[in-house]
Amino acid sequence: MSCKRARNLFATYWDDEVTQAEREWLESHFGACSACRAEYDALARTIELVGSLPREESPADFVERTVARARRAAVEPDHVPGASHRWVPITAAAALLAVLGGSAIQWAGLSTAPEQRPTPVAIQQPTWVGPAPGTTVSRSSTGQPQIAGATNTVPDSIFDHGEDVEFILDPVTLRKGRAHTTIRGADAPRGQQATITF
Amino acid sequence: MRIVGAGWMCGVALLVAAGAALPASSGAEGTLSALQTDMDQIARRARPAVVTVFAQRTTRKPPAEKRVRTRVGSGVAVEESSILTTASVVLGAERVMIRTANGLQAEAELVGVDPIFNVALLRVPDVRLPTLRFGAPHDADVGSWVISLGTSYGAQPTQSVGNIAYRYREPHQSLLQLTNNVYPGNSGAAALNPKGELIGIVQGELSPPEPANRDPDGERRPGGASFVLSAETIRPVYEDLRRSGRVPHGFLGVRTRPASVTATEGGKRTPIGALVESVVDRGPAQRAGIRPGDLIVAYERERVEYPEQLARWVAATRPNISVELVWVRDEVGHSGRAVLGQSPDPLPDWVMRDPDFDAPDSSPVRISDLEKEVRRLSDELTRIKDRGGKH
Repeated sequence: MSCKRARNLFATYWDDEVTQAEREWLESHFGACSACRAEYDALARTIELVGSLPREESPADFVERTVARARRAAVEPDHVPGASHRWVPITAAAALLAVLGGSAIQWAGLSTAPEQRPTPVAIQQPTWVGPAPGTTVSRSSTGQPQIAGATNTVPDSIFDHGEDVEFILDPVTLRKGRAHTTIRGADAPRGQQATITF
Repeated sequence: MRIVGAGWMCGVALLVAAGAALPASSGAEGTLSALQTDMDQIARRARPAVVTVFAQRTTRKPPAEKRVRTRVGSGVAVEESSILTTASVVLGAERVMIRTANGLQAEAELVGVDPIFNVALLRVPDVRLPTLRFGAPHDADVGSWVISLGTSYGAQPTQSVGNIAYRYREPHQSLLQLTNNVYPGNSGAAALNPKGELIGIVQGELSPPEPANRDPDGERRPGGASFVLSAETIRPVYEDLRRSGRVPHGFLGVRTRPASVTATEGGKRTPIGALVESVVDRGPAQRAGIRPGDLIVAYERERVEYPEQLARWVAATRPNISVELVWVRDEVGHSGRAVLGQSPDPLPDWVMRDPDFDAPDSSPVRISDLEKEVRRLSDELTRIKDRGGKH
């Protein structure tokens, strides 16, 4: 029964969508049940192998050209997509040709220079949605760009990293194979404490 | 003649080999170029989700000198208006601001801060940010490539490519050691897998073994090992902070002090566990059978060496979880399970202590003697006061 429950959780555990309680239960089950552990490892390995298969890329107009050629070669006239399912084999043939074509290009060692790579999608930038519209970019005295209209709250002195400005990079201590981040926080207690309660 | 023939054949072989090597090297160049293009694309897409975090607080030094101190770190947008950073950047701050990669500056609200996991969640209502998705735990294995993106001096972007060198697994949390270089101000920066997903939040770098390794100005220089808190540890913390502004921590109900042994006379002390001074009445430890004088030596099958370690593991465990404990009483080992309660204190005072202060060379016995002496003097003072009141 518990093995059945464990196996039902495999997919959500892989996707990291289990609850904390489910995670702890499953991990403790793995400790006790080698069969489930082995089955999960096999599943994980399979997904990883499938995921690691190279993703073939074809020239940008490859699919369009293939579809156009397939249409010219088709015996029957074109139909409006959705009116019937005859477009399915055409699309499947196009997809197959795209994959085979991509593989052939890769196999033949043809150059995949950066300029031939697909154009990257537009990169989304942070936008101001607050009460004041911020569109005009100006320069502060330190040369830092500032958006007029946005809250101009960070003083220029911060960019000078003076005595009162600290750039945080927490020290991590290693002791006997254990790593521990030390927070040197505001008003952190200093000195030794003989006892602690937890 | 034979030698001449052999030399001629070797020459031909070398030419053939060189000819064969040429396309290979050109292919390798193409691969490297494609790799760089891919890395650049991942970094360019993720960069707008990385911000600089400024946290200001006022300090008062005697005689009442008021100074505004600013801590600067990095942050990562995981929702349009929500940013994850480290607790070390914003803890105790009166005012928090962010600056985006394209120069927008906005006030941030502190939704919640958790010093146990060193994570804080900010909300920026005035800015809509592109977000980063959390990566799956299996995308963060040892050897996996990692791109770290943060900001440093002058809010300038930093970027580094490396891989996961080691995973430190502790009960209910894990820290990844990377080969990426990190820079001051990178606490809270993003660590991305090759899919551009968030596999962790940068905590810091390996602290130098000796103070002499720091430069004369006392500034920390980039080291060779960086550490990130893994996404699978951050996710539940983030969910709790988003939901309620705090993370529930486990509570064992013990008061402990360090215990150590010395193998040889004058030799180095070895920490051996957490010595229980008292237990909370009807608390989880008492219900599990732990008594004052017991030495807790293991938690969830991990060896306990010093009290802060145990306290951290207990706090990283959720309340109502049953945990396995091993303790020693009168040189006899005992084990049992305790169902943890919920810690009443969201900011325990032991969290921000420097464990270096608890070096094994320090003598816990002397400290305990000092405490006894303080108690004796306090009692003496009370008696003197009482006597003075009667006269």
